[in-house]
Amino acid sequence: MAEPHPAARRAVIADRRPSGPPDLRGIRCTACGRAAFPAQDLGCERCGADGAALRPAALAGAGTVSAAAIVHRHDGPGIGAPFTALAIVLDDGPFVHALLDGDGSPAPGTRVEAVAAGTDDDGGVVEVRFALAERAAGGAE
Amino acid sequence: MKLREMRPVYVIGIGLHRYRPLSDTPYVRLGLTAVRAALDDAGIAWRDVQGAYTGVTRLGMAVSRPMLRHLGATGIPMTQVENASASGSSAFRLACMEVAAGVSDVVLAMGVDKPAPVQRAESLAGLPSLAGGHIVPFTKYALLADEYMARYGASPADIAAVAVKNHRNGARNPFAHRRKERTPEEVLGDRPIAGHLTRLQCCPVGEGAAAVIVASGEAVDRLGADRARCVRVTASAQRSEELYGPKSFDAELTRETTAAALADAGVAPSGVDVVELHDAFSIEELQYVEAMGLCGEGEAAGRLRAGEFDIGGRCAVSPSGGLLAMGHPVGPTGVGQIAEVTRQLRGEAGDRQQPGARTGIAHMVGVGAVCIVHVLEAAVRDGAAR
Ligand SMILES: [Zn+2]
Repeated sequence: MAEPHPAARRAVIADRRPSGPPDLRGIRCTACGRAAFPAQDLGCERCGADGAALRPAALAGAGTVSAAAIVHRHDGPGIGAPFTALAIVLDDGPFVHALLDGDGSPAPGTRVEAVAAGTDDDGGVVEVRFALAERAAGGAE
Repeated sequence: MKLREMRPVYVIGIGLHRYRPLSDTPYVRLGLTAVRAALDDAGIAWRDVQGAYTGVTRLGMAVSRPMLRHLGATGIPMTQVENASASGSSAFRLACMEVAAGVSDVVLAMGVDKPAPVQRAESLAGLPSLAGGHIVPFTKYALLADEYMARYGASPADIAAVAVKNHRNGARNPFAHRRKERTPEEVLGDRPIAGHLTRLQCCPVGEGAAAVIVASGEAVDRLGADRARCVRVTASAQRSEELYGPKSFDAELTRETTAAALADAGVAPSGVDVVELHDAFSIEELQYVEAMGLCGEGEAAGRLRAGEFDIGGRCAVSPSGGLLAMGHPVGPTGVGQIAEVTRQLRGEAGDRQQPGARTGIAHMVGVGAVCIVHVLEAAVRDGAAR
């Protein structure tokens, strides 16, 4: 089976909801209960169960910052600096790195919520950033 | 089976080509310089060497023979070893295993590398991520620094103090990439990279080579090597990442792997005199000395400030200058650590000698993540190797 186009892969990052932050598309292992991001059927990192044992699961796009860092320079192609990198413990368990939608360096413990920062032609979410929870809530009005 | 329960393995020769910025010099010349120095140091000939492992990450396929053939084509087994930053450490581990198992009596472990574009296999896994290419090693360690400062009340100056110490050590190392002492103000005021990490708190990645020769006790006697200069390898531990949640996986891996190595060697953390560790970024040293048990959690900054990890302190950490100052050419780095620990345990480290050093450890983590820890012990003073 051919690998999906990178854009198509990115389009599976999140599902929009009628209101509130988008859900992240993750999985829950039916063998051991582990929730994980991103979605994949290759195998559970805790128990090794694969394929159908890994059920798609909507993970709440909300979590708590465990660390933040303003990146002042970056050599990556097409990556502008500065931007703020975040380490986030999602409310549903997984630990992820993501980008802050905004400036500054939020303190550990700050609540953040996912925001759809980019969509494809069909309205699918291709980029998710996280914003301070009160700001994300305000922006959803 | 523990390494210590197998046939004893000794480091009998060490050699380096200085780590430095990328030059036009072919890797072959860098590598041969290190190997010839190691052979001279051991007082043996190339024909005495029965196998070779080369740690290398960015030079392409089949690196060893185009280099080692210039020592005379003896037909010995040659193998390249890639394990990210820990490539040289893995080459050394394999060489030790081969001697301990009795397969060979004398084996070369070396590393050689030059900067070049590299692709990380994880990027080929076909899985999306939220931040993709935005998260590179310095980003990850800047995040760990932020978390460490929040948890323990450490300051940017506490983290920068690691770089100040290691630049001071590197200034005394003729093989170091960076050979200049730096004040706290210089380190803190240098170009910002990410979070509180400045350029001088991030290791230079250049070119270089390192070589060590390991041998059995029988070979030491047969070749007439000086027993007092032979350093025994008493443990080799290697692990890969488990699931640690939001904890620093590098620190957790370091905790597990160092504990395993010290247990195998029968050494307590308080019995370690010299440590070479993976200080690619300044924050790592604070986390790893705690994870290794050299001090309690959250104590590293205070202990560092008190001079405990200086040369001449309770336990010298990165007397070579570490990755921050000696440099991180990647393939050679883990082998260069073994060379420095050996030099220290022989008492031959000159003006960066840790007084009375008897037990040393070498530690690397690598992308993946993997961790490798070796424990080395000095020969007893009456000249009989342990
Ligand atoms: Zn599972």
